Amino acid sequence: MTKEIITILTLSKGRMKMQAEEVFKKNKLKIIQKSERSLIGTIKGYPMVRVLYMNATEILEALGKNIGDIGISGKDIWRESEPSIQSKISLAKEYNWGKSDLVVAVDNNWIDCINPTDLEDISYEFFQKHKRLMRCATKFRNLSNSWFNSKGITQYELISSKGATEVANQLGVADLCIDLSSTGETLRQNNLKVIDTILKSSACLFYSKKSVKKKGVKKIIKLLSKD
Amino acid sequence: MKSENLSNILKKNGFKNIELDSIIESKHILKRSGGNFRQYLFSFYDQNYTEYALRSDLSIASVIKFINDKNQKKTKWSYSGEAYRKQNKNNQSPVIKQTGFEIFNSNSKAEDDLEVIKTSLEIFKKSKFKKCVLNLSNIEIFHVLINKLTNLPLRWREKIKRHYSREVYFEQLLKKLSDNKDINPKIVEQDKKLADKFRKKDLNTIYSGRSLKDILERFDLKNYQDPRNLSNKKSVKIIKDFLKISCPIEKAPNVLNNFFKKNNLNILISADYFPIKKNNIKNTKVVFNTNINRTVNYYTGMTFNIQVNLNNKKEIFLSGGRFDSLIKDLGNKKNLNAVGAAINISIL
Repeated sequence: MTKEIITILTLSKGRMKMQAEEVFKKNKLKIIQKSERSLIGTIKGYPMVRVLYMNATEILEALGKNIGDIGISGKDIWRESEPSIQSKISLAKEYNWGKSDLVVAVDNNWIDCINPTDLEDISYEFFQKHKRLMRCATKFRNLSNSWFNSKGITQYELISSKGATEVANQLGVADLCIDLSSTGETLRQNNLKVIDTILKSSACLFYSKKSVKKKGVKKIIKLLSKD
Repeated sequence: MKSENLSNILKKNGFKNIELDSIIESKHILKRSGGNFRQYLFSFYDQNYTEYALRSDLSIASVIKFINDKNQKKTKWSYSGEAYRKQNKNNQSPVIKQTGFEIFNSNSKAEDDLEVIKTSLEIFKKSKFKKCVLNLSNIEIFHVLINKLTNLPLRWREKIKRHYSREVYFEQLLKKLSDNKDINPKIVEQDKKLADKFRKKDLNTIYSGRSLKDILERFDLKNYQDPRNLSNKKSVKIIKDFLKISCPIEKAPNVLNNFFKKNNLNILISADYFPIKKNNIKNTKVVFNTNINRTVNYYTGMTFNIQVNLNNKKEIFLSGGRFDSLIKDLGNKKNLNAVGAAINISIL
């Protein structure tokens, strides 16, 4: 085993940043930053460990490329990432926070659609009556494709959405959406109903498979795995 | 088998060798194969934001060429080349070699079916293989059977026909039909009340791309009978038993008619239905098999394949069939007949 710097990647913004910092704090790992806005930190008593603050997607990409050793990010982002990244990362712990479901939501007025089997019929209706594919707005292209495939739905088109996916159907951009939902309130407000849940997601602790050989990595993983 | 020999056989049988376009507008492929197929396409946009893809299937490329040529006469084409698809597994090449031949827009389906089969057998005879099994089937018989299972709700009958080509999902559908648990009678009652309310509204109102008329039509069509009832289970058993039928071709009409009679289905199949009626082809066993060529989603009628033994393993040497709706599906105004076959170049 070699003695090298261990890089922990954690979330840089929002409520999940604070919840991640809470995990460090609870396990007596005190992060020291030069200033509150600094994106680099160290851990008191662990001179060989550095902490980098990053965006949740970047964390997984960095772990996949072995730029970082340990990271906190979302399960949804991990499962959505390319197979070349996913195969290089292991999940160590699913935390009890940062929870949300990746759901398939359709217009509440579609009273004939209560499950994916109905949606499969409806996708053909779009093709037969409107000579076009049924359009689904989502940020999660890979997970959406495999869900459609698993439900036997082939007549669809994914519309990339960067935000406000829930209003895509009201804007006429899409006919349904696949998006994250924590409480279901946004969906309700936008007159959507859930017909299936693709994934139950939460914040997770990940590590790069290559990094396990580094001295001290297993110890840090064990510490951060305590919720 | 040398490629010149193959081209000579096809040429001798009147199939004109054509060059196919390397790139196709993605919408043609996606329209036919669905959005899920996008992940396998090597696609890109031009300066006008039109999406193109490297050809992923030569049959589709040839149909598109036929449509673009605006040729309304009977046409016999053969082609050979590479198709390109992204692969999930690392060791699979994205380059797939394909050779095929097709007859478009003829008036005599039976004659053309026989011609494609005869050409296929000629190709087999010139190959290194000595014996083969010629499997014959017809998807129309399967469709007639499903239409006769009137105990099943209409939307389920349509679904089963649609997914015949996707074996794994097809099995899941049959299972679901036998023991479906996702219908909640409470929700159904709520929805029925909502539907009555909706009927008073303007039926042309659009909700997320669908008119209220379409929503209510499908709502009314949905049969909320308990799908676990015995008649559905019986229908599923009939479908499963049908897909097990395999017999020498000369016995096919009898075997099928007995099967339909046993299951009280008013269907009669005559011997004229089969392009080959007797088992009199040298070194070839002709079999009627209801469960062949399930992976191709555009076949509409007769299908066949030639099966050989290679290192004690059964391999498909060649497969083909009739695809009468593909030309219209890919953008032609008129529906034109088509039949063809593709050769498994990798074992030649």
